[in-house]
Amino acid sequence: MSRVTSSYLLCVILGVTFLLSGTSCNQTKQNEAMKIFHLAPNRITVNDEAEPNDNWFVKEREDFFALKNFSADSETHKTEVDSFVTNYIKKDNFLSTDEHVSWSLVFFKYGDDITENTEHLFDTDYSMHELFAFKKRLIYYYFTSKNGYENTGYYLNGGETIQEEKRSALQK
Amino acid sequence: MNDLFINKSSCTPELNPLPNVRFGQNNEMNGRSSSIAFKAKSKLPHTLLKIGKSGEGEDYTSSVNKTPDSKALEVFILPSKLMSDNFLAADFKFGLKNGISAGAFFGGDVISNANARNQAELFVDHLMTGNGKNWNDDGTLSKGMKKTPEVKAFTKKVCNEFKSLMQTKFGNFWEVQLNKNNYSNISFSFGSSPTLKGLVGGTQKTVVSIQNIVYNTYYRTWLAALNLHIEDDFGVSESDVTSPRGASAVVAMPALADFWILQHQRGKKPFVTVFDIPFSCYGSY
Repeated sequence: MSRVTSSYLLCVILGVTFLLSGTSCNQTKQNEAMKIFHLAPNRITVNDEAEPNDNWFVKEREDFFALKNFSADSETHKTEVDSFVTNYIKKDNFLSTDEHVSWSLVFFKYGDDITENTEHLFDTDYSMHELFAFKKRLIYYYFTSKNGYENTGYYLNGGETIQEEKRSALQK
Repeated sequence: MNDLFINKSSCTPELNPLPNVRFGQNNEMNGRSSSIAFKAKSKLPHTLLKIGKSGEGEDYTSSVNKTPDSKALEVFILPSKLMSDNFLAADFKFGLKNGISAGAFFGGDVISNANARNQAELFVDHLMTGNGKNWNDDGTLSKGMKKTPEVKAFTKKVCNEFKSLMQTKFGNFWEVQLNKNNYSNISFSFGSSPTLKGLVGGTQKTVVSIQNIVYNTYYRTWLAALNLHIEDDFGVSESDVTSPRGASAVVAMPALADFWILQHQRGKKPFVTVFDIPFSCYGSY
């Protein structure tokens, strides 16, 4: 066997090994159990200082969650979160409390000071821009009293890109 | 371009730019134009986006003789117990101005050093004597904000989403609302402006509204004057002092500690700072 052929074979073997190891790592990651933790309290903002022409929502609610072992590439994970959200919103009638309200469920990446015990405080420079920084967001589900379910967004590359979708499970 | 929109009343007739031309047998186009003009008058200003709330949270509280929760801060502020309010204010100004000047020297700043130092003086003076009254920027800082990459990226994103929704809504701007989940309050970095990082940092409330809009119904285009309204709490929480991130924040710790003592142990009231940044967008429908 010539030296060129053997080098070529070695490259192929290394390449295949690399690809296989990548796939197996990915599978391991996807197989880890995904967990969702609700971070209390929920935040309700009442826009009581509205100007005469202000057509913005009268009330806005934000519920925060920590999401552990979530992979945006896994449709199974996405479906699991859909199912969680569907059950979660059924338990509350917030959308019917007023004619013009919005409700967002925001999921953050677990870790980096966000755990199941982290309080959902979102009113200081530190909590808004460091602890619950935009780059730590993973998913949002958005609802309004006007249309019900609006859409879902997956934050990619630390929120630089947001992939918006209408999840079929939520439209039922 | 913004000068076009300074006087709303002078712009409104522009909503019907071709009043003497008849389009179609029944002059449908002119009718459509009049309809938009009529609605536009009554719907302006229109809120496109609202995120966050200012004037709340731990950084907006004020007290006398509060004991810090963390031992680290308690030890850190121990020597300041005997210092007078005026001495602490002077030390706070010194730290703030020198931090800004040093940052500007090494990395540049969108705000001139003279203006930055003056604004730092005014902010601390307002903390000492303003009794919590809002601080409305006279344009010095908001003009600088407009040049930062953070504000440029934010307004670009707003324009792109607004343009797209204007097409979906056939030019009816009053039906357009941006999805707040796609945006966050702007946070100025030390790299883009040491002055804005020192005096404003991470902001707490953002409102984007349409102040005026003109249509060209023939070409089906529009041009809108928008306003980016930013509010921030000029106050400090314990976590702001004890959980600094990045080298600049660590350097700022002594100044933040002075600020914390004045606010939480000497009863000086924090205040909301208000900034308005005009910008424009155009598109078709």
